[in-house]
Amino acid sequence: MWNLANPTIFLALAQRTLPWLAAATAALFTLGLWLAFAAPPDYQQGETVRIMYLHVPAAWMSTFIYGVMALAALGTLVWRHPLADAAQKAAAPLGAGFTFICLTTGSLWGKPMWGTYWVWDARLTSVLVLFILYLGLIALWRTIEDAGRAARAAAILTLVGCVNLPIIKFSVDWWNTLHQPASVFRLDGPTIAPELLWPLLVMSLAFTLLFITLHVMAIRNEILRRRVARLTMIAAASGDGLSPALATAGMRP
Amino acid sequence: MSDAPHWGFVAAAYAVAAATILAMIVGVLADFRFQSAALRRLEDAHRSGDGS
Repeated sequence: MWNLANPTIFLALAQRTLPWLAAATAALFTLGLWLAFAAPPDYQQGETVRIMYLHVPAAWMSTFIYGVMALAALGTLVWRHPLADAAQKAAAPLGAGFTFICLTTGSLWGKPMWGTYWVWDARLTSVLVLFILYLGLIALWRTIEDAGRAARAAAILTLVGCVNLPIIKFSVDWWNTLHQPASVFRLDGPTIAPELLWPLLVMSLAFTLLFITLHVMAIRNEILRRRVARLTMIAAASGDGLSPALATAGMRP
Repeated sequence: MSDAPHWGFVAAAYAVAAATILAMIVGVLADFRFQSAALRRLEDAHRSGDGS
């Protein structure tokens, strides 16, 4: 596992696994979507229950990705793992994307079911805060030029933002919210009928595989970006006439 | 209860999710092409600089 810290080994492994990951993701999405539309309508929600097959997996992914980023932040601050910062930086736009899906699909479900697109409910607000956190982290990486300082600042902000995760999870228990309480991960088992639970689980697996595939690809991009930056610095230091190539690559010589 | 008006919300939710997922895939692929091309250009220029 620790060998993956070597970017060259990671790149070789990524090249071998990415086609399989992409194929498995596509297959699971095909199966998940078929199950989602073959499932019977809910007795209360009617056809709008089909939005849940997108909303719930996206909601799970939004907090799961933040957890991955928090682990990577620890890797950056404590163990100074060479790929930890790359993994954290690569995950943030994906986390923002999944949280955006969660918020918009939830809103589109809320209008026919609650009669409104949005309420300042504890669950909805805490997920909106998570979305803003993702955007803030992306902005932080873009505004601090020094890569090392940006990594440390982003790692600290990520760890501070972790306080929001239990708030999201337990908001439906701690406060009187419009959002329904947990119905899958419960001590007494899921309260959803199996006909509706299976499509949900398959779609959740498809979303998880999609994240893993895109995350591996984004980490690979980050490694390449660092190689480009290193070559640019070497060129600038030695002044070996790379300016035209650097200009085409969008780099300052 | 008629579900007919609700299909619009279902279709909109799937369209938003598909567009967002597609944007993430295209973004990652475009970044890979850009970084690979930049690295190739720099390595070529570096090699030709070594040769001269």
